[in-house]
Amino acid sequence: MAIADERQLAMVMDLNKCIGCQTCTIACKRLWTKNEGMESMWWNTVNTQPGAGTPRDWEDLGGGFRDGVPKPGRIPTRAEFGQAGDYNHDEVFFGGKSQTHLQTKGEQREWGPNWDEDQGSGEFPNSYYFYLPRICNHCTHPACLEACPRKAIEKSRENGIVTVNEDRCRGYRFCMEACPYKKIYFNELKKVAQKCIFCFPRIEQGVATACARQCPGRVRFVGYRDDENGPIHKLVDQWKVAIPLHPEYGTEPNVFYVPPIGPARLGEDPRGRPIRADGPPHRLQVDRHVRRVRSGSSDDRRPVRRAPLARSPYLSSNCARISE
Amino acid sequence: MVMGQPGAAVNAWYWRADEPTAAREISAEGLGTSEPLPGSTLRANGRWRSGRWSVVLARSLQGGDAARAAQLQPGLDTGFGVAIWDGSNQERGGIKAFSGEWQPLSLEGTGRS
Repeated sequence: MAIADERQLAMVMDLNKCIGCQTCTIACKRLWTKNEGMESMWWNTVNTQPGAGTPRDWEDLGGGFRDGVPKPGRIPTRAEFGQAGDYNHDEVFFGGKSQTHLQTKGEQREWGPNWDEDQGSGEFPNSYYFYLPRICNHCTHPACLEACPRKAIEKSRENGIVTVNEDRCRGYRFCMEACPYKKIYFNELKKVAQKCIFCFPRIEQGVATACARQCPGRVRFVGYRDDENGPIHKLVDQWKVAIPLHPEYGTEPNVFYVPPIGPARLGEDPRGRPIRADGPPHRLQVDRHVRRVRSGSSDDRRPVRRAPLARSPYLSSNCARISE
Repeated sequence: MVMGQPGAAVNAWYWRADEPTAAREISAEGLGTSEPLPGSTLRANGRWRSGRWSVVLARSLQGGDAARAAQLQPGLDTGFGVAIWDGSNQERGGIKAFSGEWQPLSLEGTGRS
């Protein structure tokens, strides 16, 4: 529970509205991680679910807490993050040849940050997938902060944003082991850990994060958790339609998701035409990946209510400026 | 080997294999408090030959910030320790192999100062 003078910024992402266009990813990349040493960093990722995610199979890499006790984790490898490719831009754009296309140079790559895009799961006609955008969760109980022996990770009292103090960081990467969401990257050039900063310089100007502002689907809501007139409190606490990702990791993440409502499950009528199938109404519920998103605390396990959201003014306005 | 304590700084000379000619002199007053020592005159060079590193770290006996840099004097005993990190074994920070107790270090001769 936050102390009275502490506030927490939070984000809600409505997964029903995400079209997987990666505009958020690029908005973040252009703003924060375009410098040398940051080539492989994607502070914002969007991955197809069911799928391996970024870094690859991050949910199996440990970290966070179990019953209040730190759980061992490991640092994702560069291969698991998916190294930045070196592309033949010169040849394509300035080579003067017509029969060239964009491709990576050197060895054939075997994994990347969005390698399994749109593969999803299920058998036709009940195949399905949805997109899961992820940033640092700016946790209320950050495992990264506790893991750092140098106290290089700070959580702001004013807004709850978690940042790495690069002057104190010595590049030990204990934070990368401890983060259960595996959202911390390592700058090989500066030899420091770097991560999403929740666009705090924008926040200080009263402007929402770049990923939220640039989103064509207006998936993201940004605001203070305790602002009862703001979208976060309404979606998370009042209407209870938005829930955290993997709350069992014990870090109290401050990014919440409105779970996807899947399309109806289909069978075939005697003439082979698709009809609504018997059994569970949705394709998504059968899969463990979706249960991950759906499983909140016991209080959050109730069926997701859709009606209030449909009437929400935020559905169309997306909170362009942060409500105080 | 807990990197000193408040008011009782340790002075460490630090070398790493990925930058064999860079010398780092640091001061610490407890775990997680190491800071580069300003005005350090420490020099280093390392050479990889026949499967092992040979490293020389050199500094004038009286060096830098007198409060935080070890001031060595002939005839005056001091203590030293050694710590080694095997990076390929994920060793860094407090995860290291180290000499368990202070080793005596005596420089022959008599101090002139």
